[in-house]
Amino acid sequence: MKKILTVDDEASVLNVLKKMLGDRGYQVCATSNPLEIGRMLEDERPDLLILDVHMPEKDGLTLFRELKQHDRLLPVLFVTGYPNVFSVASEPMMKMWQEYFGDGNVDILYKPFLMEDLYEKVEMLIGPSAD
Amino acid sequence: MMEMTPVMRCEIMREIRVVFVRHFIDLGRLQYNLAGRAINVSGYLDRLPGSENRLTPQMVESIIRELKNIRMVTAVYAEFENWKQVDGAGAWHEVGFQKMASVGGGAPLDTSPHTLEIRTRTKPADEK
Repeated sequence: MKKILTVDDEASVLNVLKKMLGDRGYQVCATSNPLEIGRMLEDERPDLLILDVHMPEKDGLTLFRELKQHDRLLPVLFVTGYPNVFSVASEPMMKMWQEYFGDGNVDILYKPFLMEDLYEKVEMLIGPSAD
Repeated sequence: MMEMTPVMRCEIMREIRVVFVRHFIDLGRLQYNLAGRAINVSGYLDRLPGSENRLTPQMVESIIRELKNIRMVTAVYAEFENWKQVDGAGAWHEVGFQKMASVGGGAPLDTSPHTLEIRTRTKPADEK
């Protein structure tokens, strides 16, 4: 069974993602505290990380950059209501896009999203819950 | 024909994203899946916010060609909301240009950063 780790500062979002993906057969662990991610990645060894971008303790893009330096192959799905965070007019985002998105292990899902779109994005990254 | 394993499928899906990323395509505005050995892609084919150059018909053609060239892919079915082919085949042209929120300002797609709206739709079963 494939395992997903989700990070979002909103408990309601985490609960919904847990329910939706759990119903699809994935094992889901979740945290609202991005500072716990390092430990949870080590303990849980997820197949996929679903990452909110705007979080008060640490923003998702900074966290992403740090995590990718330790595990380049970890698939990541960004979930955000702000498409402009991926604006390549900023040089840091341009560099991040080329360096960390270029291996094809990252995808983006904008809020609000259809349930089917979430399932599709997850399956396109890691396949169905059980192969 | 060689049977496709789950690992091969994941690899093809990764290659699909590599193509889009190489062209600075906004992944969040696209839906794509793999049905058998055919790629289905839909949504808005658009560059990331802040991109210097807009997509041209030639770039769209190039993207489709690169997707078709992915190993083990036999067909690409593209149904974009903002790009159509003349007579269903041939040259691409842009339709109904929709400007995304501008860089450094403009409203986000979701006016509340804390909204999670769950919708469902009925989709026809994928061909296997």
